Amino acid sequence: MVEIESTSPASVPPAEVEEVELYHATNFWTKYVFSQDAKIIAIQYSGVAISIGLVALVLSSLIRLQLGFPEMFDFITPESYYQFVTMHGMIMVVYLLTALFLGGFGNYLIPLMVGARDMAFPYVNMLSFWIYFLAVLVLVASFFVPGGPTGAGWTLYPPQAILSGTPGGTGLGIILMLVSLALFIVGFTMGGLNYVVTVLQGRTRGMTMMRLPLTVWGIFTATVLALLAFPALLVATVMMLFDRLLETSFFMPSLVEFGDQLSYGGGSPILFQHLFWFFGHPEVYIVALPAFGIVSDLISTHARKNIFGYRMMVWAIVGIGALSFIVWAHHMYVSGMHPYFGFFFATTTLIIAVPTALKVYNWILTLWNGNIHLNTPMLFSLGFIVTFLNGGLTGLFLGNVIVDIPLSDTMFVVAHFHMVMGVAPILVVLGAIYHWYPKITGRMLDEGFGKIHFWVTFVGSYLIFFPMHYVGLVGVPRRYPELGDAAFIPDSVATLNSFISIAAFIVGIAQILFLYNLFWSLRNGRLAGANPWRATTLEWQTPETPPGHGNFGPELPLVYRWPYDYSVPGASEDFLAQNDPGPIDSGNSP
Amino acid sequence: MTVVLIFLAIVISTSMWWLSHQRLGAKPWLESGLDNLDQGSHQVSLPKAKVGLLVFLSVIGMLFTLFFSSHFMRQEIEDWRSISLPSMVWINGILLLAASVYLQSALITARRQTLGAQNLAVRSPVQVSILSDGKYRHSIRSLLINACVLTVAFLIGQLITWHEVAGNGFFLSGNPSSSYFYVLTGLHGLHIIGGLVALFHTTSLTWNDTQIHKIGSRIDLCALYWHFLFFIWCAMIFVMLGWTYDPLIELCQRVIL
Ligand code: HEM
Ligand SMILES: [Cu+2]
Repeated sequence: MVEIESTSPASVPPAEVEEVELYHATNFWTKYVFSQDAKIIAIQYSGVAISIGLVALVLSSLIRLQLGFPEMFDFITPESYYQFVTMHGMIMVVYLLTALFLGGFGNYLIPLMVGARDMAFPYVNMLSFWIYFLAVLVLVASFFVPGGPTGAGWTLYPPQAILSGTPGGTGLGIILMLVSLALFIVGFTMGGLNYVVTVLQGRTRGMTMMRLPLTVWGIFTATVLALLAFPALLVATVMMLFDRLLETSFFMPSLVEFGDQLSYGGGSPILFQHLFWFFGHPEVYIVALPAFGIVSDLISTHARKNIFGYRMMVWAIVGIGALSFIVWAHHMYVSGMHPYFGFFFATTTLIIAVPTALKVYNWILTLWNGNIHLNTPMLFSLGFIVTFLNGGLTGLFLGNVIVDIPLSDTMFVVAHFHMVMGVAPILVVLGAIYHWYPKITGRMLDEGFGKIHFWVTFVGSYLIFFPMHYVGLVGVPRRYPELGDAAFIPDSVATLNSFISIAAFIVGIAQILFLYNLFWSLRNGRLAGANPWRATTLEWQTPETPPGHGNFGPELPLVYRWPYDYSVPGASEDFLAQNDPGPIDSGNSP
Repeated sequence: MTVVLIFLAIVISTSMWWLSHQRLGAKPWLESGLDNLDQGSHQVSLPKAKVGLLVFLSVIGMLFTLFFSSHFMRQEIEDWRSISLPSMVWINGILLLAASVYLQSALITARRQTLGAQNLAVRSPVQVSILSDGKYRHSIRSLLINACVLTVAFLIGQLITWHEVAGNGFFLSGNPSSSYFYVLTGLHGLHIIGGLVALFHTTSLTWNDTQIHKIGSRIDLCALYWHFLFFIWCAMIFVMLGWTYDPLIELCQRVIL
């Protein structure tokens, strides 16, 4: 083994780059509202994302009310059902998960973890949040316009999305949706430039790329994906807006509606699908990669073991990121594509499973023989691994053309993608909140509440989505407010649907417990101290908790080691922080 | 989607090339210490703002190549009638190119000043600002003003082109080729306007006593942005004229679509 002597702090050569001027807020408005401090922006992003996410949660309960107990609620018409489904899906994927992982966790963790005082361009970062906020407001506004929000499905497929048969299609609904998405993309791009440049340029001394915590790797790669994938959605929204407002025919074929020939002609709905899924598939990894990264750090910290195969984990993250751009058409197997085309995309889809499976093995090997503390963050991480594996396996089925064709547009697909990109990332979000809350507020979240929250959420999610696979297998289609009496649907489906709905309500209510915990612990939680989890990464080594403006006091930390030196023999505690020069006399092997 | 995949491949391989210089093969669990890792510094040796701009340009590049891809896919459908571009576009091209060239020479002048100042500083630090500043500042300012004027002229030229195309009976919602024409040139124009805001600001800096090397780094960003937008403009015209429409691409499209 090559052992490189560690240097004592005294012999540190002077930095070549001078410190940058920090922006200092002077009054309440610039300090807390139009703040340029990444930590405040992170909290603003998270607050807005979680609030709009709760709206989506309520919408999912309304969807389940209708599916579980059809014909009982007069206020859920087929039109409003479509609107609920659409807004639920869009909010969850874009406005909650993307914004929370990148805008929330990205803003909070990147500067702290790489040892920077703030983001590279704080002013642009502030603009990013406010544009995101505007996008959310426009989205919310669409609930209140005549005709209501769009009911086109979160995929917004033309031509139906902008025709009169779809709720919101000829009114303001679809327009506000498209405008809101465009704003979101502009706002995100501003934030994304910050996250990327901060990782590239803002790292403190000694923090090489290969010493970055996997959380940063995950968020960084996801940001790059998002920067390159969101333009596809922007192109699609812009062209659709033109089709809707100015009667161009980018996507709209010639159509006869209620006997009237519309002015459209020649456009290609398939073109929209290509653009949408060129964004849509990387989007899955935009929410998955940060989750991968965060979970790696959580299990390593709470099992007191170094991460197994750090290098492989990094390569896998980057590899998955690159591959995710060439699988998009597996969402279009039923669009009448050339069979060779489908074959190509099935192959790439299966190839991407290889690095993904590798990560799962590495997590399990990290846990192997670890000193596992079954606290709330760890429970959520374990829940994630199981759930992601589960969703990944059904993904392998759906990736094959021949299996996908009968399953396409059934509840099986809904069950699959909820496992893999609904439940799994949400479990990580929750685990991460339990993990970092002490740093953000200085107090621990209550463990008792946390455990109840975990078990109800985890078991409940399985009760919701596991039976849903069976509902899908018998052929129940998705996006149907009511099933009627089709011969192929057995009565048991109705029973199962009511069961799923009740489980969904319980899971929904359990989240109130979590919110209560968040607010209650703010004042009553146990004081956390600087480093309650005895973690190695830089955010836990700040002089103040919560970290002050500029994060690290007068001197930036120097990084001497990778972030996973846990259970180090001979260390005074069982871990060595990244900025710990280590025992000077002897070489220290982890 | 061929065009966008080619562009994406370029972006990804550049990033991979950069990553491959980040000692991805290192075994961080075996190494501790600071000194050995600091040399051959792993930071990108460019200023932050320039890295930010490069990333941003790849985003813009994606945006336009996606439009190009969709253009190619849309033009396969039989209702497509290619648009004939008025000769005004060539004048516009020359205007934008000239603006780009002016910015480049402003950049060269600023660099020369900075170099000169460094040389002088060795001899007599006090004189630096007095000696070199006035002369260079003046020529940089006029070069920048020229670039501004030419860019504004380009925008006006584009408006005239729009007018001519509309005069030929090609409106936004007429044929998809003209829809693409207006949307693409409009989007490009918006990017130019965004750049102009920055360029105006940079130009205004030559009047107050901002140091030239600071102005220089802004000119650097503007010049890069202008070159890139000129490049995009050329690609746009190529796509709209259908010149890239050779049998090879046709073959690829057969296979992929
Ligand atoms: C308690 C949690 C949740 C429940 C009970 C739930 C339930 C549902 C139901 C019943 C549907 C409609 C199925 C149909 O009729 O087609 C649906 C659609 C959807 N959900 Fe969820 N969901 C939950 C959380 C999430 C999360 C966290 C995400 C984030 C990825 C998500 C993303 C989606 C998407 C993308 C759709 C498709 C919308 C569409 O068809 O346009 N859901 N959900
Ligand atoms: Cu996919």
